[in-house]
This record gives sequence, C-alpha cells and structure tokens, in this order.
Amino acid sequence: MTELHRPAPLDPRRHHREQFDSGEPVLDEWLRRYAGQNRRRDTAATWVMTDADDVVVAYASVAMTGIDRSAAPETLGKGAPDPVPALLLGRLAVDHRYANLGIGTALTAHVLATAVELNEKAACRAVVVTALNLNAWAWWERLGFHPFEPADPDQLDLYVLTAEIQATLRKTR
Amino acid sequence: MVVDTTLLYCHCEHMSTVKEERLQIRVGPADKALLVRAAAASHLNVSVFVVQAAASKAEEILAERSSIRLSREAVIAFTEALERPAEVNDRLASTMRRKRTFSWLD
Repeated sequence: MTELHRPAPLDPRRHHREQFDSGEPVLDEWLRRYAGQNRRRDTAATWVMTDADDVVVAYASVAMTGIDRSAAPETLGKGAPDPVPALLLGRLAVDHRYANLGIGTALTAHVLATAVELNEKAACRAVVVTALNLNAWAWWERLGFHPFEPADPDQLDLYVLTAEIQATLRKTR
Repeated sequence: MVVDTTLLYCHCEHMSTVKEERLQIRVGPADKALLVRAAAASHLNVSVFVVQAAASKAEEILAERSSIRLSREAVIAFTEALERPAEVNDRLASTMRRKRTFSWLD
C-alpha cells in the first residue's frame, strides 16, 4: 500500500517537486516555480503530501480571503456590509501517478479541519474553492461544495460553510 | 496617418476534448514585438506563448484573491445559508467515510 506523510507546509529545501505532474500545466509550473520566502507577495500558504522520499505527490495552497456582500447591502440591515472572513483553497493538485487513492480528498479534509480550527480561534465562516475547469468543478460538487452562482456557467467558485463542516465532522468521527 | 494596432489571434484551449475558440485582441506594435521575441526565446509560437502566459497569470489571480465578489443573487443565497442553523452535509459526510487506499507514514 502507498505510504505518505501527513500534510505539512511546503519546505522548498526538503520537498522534491521537479517531477510533479498533475496533468494541469499551470498548476505543475506554479509548484516548480514556488520559491518560498522569496516570493513576491506571500499571500498563500502551501501544504504538501509527500512520499517516503519527500517527493511531493499532492499540494494545496490556501489563503485568507473575504466574501464581499456589497452587491446586496439591504440583506444585512443597517450599516456597511463587512466581508465574511473565509479560507480560499485556491489550488489543489494530485500527481496523476497517484490518482484515485483518495489523496485529494485527504488534503481537502486537512484544509476543512484547518477552517474549523481557525473559526474557533478567530473567524472563518467558509471554505471557498475556485475550480480551474468543469471537471474540477464537478469534483468539488460531488464532494459537497455548493456553487455560489448556480445559474452562471462561467462562474466556477464553490463554497462550504465552516458550521456545516463542523456538524459533519462531529457526525462522522 | 493611421497608426494601426496589430491584431493578434489566440487559440484558447480549455480542454483537449473541447472545441477551440478564437480570442481576438488588439496589441500595439511595441508590445507585439516584445511578445514575438519572448515567444521565440521560449521556443513557442506567439499564440501558444500568449495563452500560456495569460493562463498562468489568470490562475494566480483567481487562486490568491483577497476578496471574493458575488452577484446580488449569490449574496442573498449565501447570507441565507449563513443564517440557517448548521446542517450535516451528506455528500461531505459520505466522502469523509470513504476508506483511504493509502496509509500514513507518521
């Protein structure tokens, strides 16, 4: 059986990412180019799952974001609507040689648990994902994410509420 | 005298199974020369080079947005969801219950 390290922050000196091949060139290239603290603006944190030789088999990048509700201010009563704090799971990629083992799901579960933890300590009301294409969109939907804009086929952002994650984890644990 | 902007045609390949679409963009001569030189240096044709570079920039912007803007309808639906008591997400629950086919080293 394949043995993998639990999700850990990407360490550019330790983790090997040269051979990473998810089949999505944009995501592969981003990981190879990633230069740790030398990045222009460090807005996202990168988590990896690696094999016994520290070769990256999957990665996710997460960033804090805010859900802007100013398009419908009247739903929020008086005052300016504050953005809803959320976690943006902006990238998720699994090496195709490790497909169908549940690795993407395990890495997602790690990010969802992080959101619950963050929500207890500060505030993080939702996890948002942005799908690169319709295949990815369908994958997130199957997992239980809800489309923000079900009527707009060009809008590939989905979300799940932290409260929902918490209620679900409590039941499955 | 008319200083014409040069037209640049890009093939946008979303997925290999999907029919290619045409994107027509205007570009000034200096920018075009720059793109042509960079494409040649990357051993790519201009069209492929432009699409790859733009896709990588687009991906980065979407993946690291500090603000997610929603339409009016989406704000209303999302706000209602936030205000409802927390519910178990059945699809998420069945995903979480699925057996892993790998094991943890640590």
